[in-house]
Amino acid sequence: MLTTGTSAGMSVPGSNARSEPLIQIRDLIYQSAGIFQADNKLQLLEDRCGKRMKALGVPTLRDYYACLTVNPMHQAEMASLLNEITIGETCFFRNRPQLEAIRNIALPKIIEARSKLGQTRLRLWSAGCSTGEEPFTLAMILLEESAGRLKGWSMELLATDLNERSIAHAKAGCYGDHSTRNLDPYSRNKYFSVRGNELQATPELQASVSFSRLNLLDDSLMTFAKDVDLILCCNVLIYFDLASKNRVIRQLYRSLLPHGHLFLGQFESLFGVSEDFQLVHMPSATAYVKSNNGAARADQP
Amino acid sequence: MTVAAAKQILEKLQSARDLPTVPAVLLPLLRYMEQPLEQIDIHQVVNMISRDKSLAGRCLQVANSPLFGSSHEVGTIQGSVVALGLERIQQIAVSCSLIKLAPALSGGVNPAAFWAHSLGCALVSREFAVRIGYSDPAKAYAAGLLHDIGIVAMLWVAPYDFRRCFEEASQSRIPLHEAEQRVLGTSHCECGKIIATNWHLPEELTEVITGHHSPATVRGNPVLTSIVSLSDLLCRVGGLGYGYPEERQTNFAEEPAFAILAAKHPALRPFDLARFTFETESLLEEVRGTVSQIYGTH
Repeated sequence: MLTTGTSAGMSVPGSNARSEPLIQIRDLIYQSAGIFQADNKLQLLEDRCGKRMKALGVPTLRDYYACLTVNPMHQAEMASLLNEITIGETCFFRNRPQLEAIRNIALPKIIEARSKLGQTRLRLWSAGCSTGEEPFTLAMILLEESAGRLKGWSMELLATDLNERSIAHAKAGCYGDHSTRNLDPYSRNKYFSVRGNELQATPELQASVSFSRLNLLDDSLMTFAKDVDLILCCNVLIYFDLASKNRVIRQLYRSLLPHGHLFLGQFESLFGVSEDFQLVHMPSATAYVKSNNGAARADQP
Repeated sequence: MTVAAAKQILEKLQSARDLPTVPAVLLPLLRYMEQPLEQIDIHQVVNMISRDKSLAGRCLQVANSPLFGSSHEVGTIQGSVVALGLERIQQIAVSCSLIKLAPALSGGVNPAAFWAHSLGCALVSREFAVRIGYSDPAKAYAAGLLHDIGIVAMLWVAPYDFRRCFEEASQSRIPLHEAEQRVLGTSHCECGKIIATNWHLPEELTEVITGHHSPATVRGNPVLTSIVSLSDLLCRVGGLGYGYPEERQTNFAEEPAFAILAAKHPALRPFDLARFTFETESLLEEVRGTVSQIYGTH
């Protein structure tokens, strides 16, 4: 398998600002987790490694790279580093270009495909929904569209997570400043009410998402998600090893309708994991669709 | 009506009276870039760039930017040749000379956006060329830089018509060349061909300028054109187009340019396009930063 050319990204000769161990750690994270830290995110990565190095009492990045590779606990340390990388990221309307792509490009395609089948229903799935910010964001987008393109449609929004406590939090629908930092005034007023220092999702918003606990590796449970138009699965696969990733991706593939779209985290990639899905580009966002939009491989076991 | 409009624009361009004057250093620099490095008189290049004070100033800004990443600040063109090498300085100088071609683009296109797109496409083309093992990344750079020169030509002879195309493109959120075809029945590719021929640009560059939206029609060097075609697309989906998002889903694997490249460059078959896209996004952010710095200070 080919990884892309130079490991130093697109930096040019003469640019030696970044240390070699940091680049090695970046590439290691990408190989094992599929999440990429571009050159303009390397400072952030260095800070996050710094936190872990402090916790471990490790003096240099070179030593820390050894912790992530040769140390007997390297897998656990990689999980800790990934936690550090994704921590606190969850908030409403987190990745605007991705949401725009869903609303303006994926949704019209889904509507067209469903309409061709004479159907006026759609089903979306937030797989690994954490404390609910992501599915509630999708719900707000769908509710806005329900007065326009989706008028008269029935919509189902599934949201699952492995963590019981996250699901309980999501069901309660109460959020603090950190989660609501990207919420525009319009959505804030329409879909939330103030409760002390927090914002409470309105009954309408809460009713539009059905939360449940689900282990993505549990094949028997996975059959519940069928005929899905769109899956959002952000920064979830990064914690799985390659074999588990393969299994999950295959399940997600089966869950999707032929026109279905899979959206991952902003810098997440399926390269080397799945050849069933094809990468597609939208303005400042990428997604995965079934090969030939599902025609060729939809029935593959 | 569109046929008449196209005919009029192309005739106007061919008559050559109204063509923009080519910046003095652009053609000599392009010629140098065609030569093996060891045959080039470094002093001649340095003097040529240094003589033009505004060009030299911009070149130093770019040379010191993260895009070309000199590890220490350079203050003269000669110093920048030492720090970055002659090939890079030629690329920087050609890029900066393009600014003079579009000093006050009208017709809806912001001159800074035009330059940013050209510079971004040059850098992505060069990197893409390296990744797939294309033999001449420097040529890919020049081709990426000049691919949309036809827009300058169109604006020069038909600014009002071009504005209509641009408005159509940005309202319908479609690629510019499709709007040009829809509104005028011609495109910046055809116009670019005329201007490239008029300036006696190297044949391969003329092909890229003419064929970057239809690489399958290119006969001479379809690989070079395909590299630029995909890099152009990556810039546009990465937000470095002409100031509006093209609202569509693009599957690179289904692009004609991709098939052309995959046939010649086996490295492309298992190519990690996702990673290249993330890297490109980061690079384009640097381009935006450098361009706004240069346009802010000149």
